[in-house]
Amino acid sequence: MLRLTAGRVGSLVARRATVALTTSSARMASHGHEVSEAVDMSKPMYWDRREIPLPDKRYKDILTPADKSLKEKEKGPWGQLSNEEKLTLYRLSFCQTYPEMKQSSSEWKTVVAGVLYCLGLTGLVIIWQTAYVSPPAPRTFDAEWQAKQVKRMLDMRVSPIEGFAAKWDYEKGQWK
Amino acid sequence: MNTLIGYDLVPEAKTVDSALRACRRLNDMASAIRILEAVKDKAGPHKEIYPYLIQELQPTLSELGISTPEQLGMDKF
Repeated sequence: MLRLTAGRVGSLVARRATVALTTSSARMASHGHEVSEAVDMSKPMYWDRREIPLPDKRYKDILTPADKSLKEKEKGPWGQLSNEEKLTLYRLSFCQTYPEMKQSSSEWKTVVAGVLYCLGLTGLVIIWQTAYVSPPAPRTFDAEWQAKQVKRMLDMRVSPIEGFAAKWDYEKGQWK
Repeated sequence: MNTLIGYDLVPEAKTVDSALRACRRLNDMASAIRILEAVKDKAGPHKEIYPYLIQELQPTLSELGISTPEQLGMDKF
């Protein structure tokens, strides 16, 4: 699925870039070192998709003589075909059954692991940064300064009704 | 057939019956089984629709000799 998408994107980009004198496969051949073969999108293609049960072409193009004789037998009454033959016929025409198409992968575990790993790396970088890169904190962060700041705020009666100073008990001189 | 599966519905037994007979005319057993699988998939979480459909289609299935995916063991892997 991903390989097909990459091929599709690659050929779209190729078509848009050239003046359409060469086909994308010719350009690929002239480069000589492209990664995947260009899929010819002008011919009927096969997909396994839930919403397209019958793709444009059969899955297996090349039939062995055994397959061909089975295809001949298919032209007769189907009651004569055994279950294995029916399965063989199915696999000739289709790659995956619906349950196989619908099966979930464990990709999410890789994704979550990757995300956590990257977050971890970032965390390490930040720890190193706070130790070695950041300048010393301003003096307003000292505990003594902060205490004086709180005292000043209480003296000013900052938010006396519902906020800061409302929580300070002025008679007893402590937090409520 | 792809268009039919594209609609937001599970096809009626009559429609699936015609599709299966078309497969018979084209000598394409694999497509017949695929259609049955697709119709089961269309029912989604409503698991009672597919058995009903098979029940309705049973005369046609026996007449044409089509096995259901369950009979071929294709619903498990």
